[in-house]
Amino acid sequence: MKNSISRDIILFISFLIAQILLTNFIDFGPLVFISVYPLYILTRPRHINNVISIASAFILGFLTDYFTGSILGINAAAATLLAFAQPFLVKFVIRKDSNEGPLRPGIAEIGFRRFFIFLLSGLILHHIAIIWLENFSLQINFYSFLRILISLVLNFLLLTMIEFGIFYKNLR
Amino acid sequence: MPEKTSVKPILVSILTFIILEGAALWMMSGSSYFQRARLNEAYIQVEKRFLNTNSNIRYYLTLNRANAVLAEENSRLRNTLSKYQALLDTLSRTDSVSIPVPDSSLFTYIPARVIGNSTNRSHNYIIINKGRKAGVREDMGVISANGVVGVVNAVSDNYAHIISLLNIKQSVSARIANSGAFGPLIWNGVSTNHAVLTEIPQHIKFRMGDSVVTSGFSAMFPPDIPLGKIVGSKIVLGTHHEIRVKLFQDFKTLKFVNVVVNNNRSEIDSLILKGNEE
Repeated sequence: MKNSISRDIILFISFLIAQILLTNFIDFGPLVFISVYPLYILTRPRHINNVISIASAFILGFLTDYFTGSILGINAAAATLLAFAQPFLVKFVIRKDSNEGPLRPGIAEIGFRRFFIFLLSGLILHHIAIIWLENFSLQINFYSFLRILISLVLNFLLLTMIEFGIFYKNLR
Repeated sequence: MPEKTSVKPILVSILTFIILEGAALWMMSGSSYFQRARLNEAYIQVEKRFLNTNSNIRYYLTLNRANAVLAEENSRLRNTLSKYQALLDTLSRTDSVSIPVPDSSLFTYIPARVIGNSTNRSHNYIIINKGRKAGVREDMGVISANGVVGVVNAVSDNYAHIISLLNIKQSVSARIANSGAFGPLIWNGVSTNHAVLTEIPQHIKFRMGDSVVTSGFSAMFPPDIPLGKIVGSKIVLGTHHEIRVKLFQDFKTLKFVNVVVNNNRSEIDSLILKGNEE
């Protein structure tokens, strides 16, 4: 138990640092926003209390906002939404009772195909939330759509590589 | 874990979610002018909608009074209109020398509200809230905006009892607007929306959808009040039409009526009495 908590805290800090480094030191241009922290929120182990999960996601998003100089609260709101939706996504993709299911919804536990669907749906939710909050309206114009699409592809590839390279390899 | 299945943790997590999202939105409004402007806009819209609903509800609650005022005004306008109609009739007669126009016209109207109404019997009656004190007398006609309602049957000080048109003993003298053929309009006791116009001679031509109006031959009702439109007919005994008329007046939603006062009623009655004696 103590081990898993310390593991969680280490993951939290490393995702935060990765997010800050990627956003602050590499300029991807206006059409792309890189977000790494969705992987952390999406692959939270299922035995963690929902309230703790949502609160920690909020803190993670807030710190991301604070250190990357974006509009304060935009990543916090999106991260909170993602953390709130994560149990439903897990249920939707894995189609099993969450008690019987794997503890951590990663590649190693639920397989490639399911993980891709899981990650993609989570990322779409997150990106649309970000764009909605940025424009502060529910309409999505062509520019925003392009932005969602390109960021989605890049983030999806990036997060799949992280998941595959770091978590999947280490567990095998 | 038994508490997993209960509703409480879900509610708690939804509450956390809402609180944290609200905090995030609040932070956004504090840090960005654009988001703050949009939030203010949304707030103003919600407020506007709320106020709008509020005023709608208020408007609905005061509709009763507004209706009474409108009925009052409507009958006043009818009175004025009939006065001018009488004036026009006098003026348009080119053969007459200029006679002084009477200061009151033939018909005046007393507005009243329906307080009792039945439609489900073969002898239906209506009770209105104006009586002898307001000038209502027996055998006065009662109309509404959509046609004839009935005839006053009995009067007390403050109320009047009306034989509804939906009464198989009641008839109204009616005519087909286009051809001018007239006959009694009676209710056959079948449908509250339909009545039957009888005694129209067989040679009279009419079409479906022609309107039926009051004839004005009885002293109770002014002429040309729309009653309904023709929806069907059949020939009875080979001699006359029996025409099915769809009434404009929906008796189930009847609320405001006008009692028709014929100002020359006593004169006409005494004339008829005199004519019968001789």
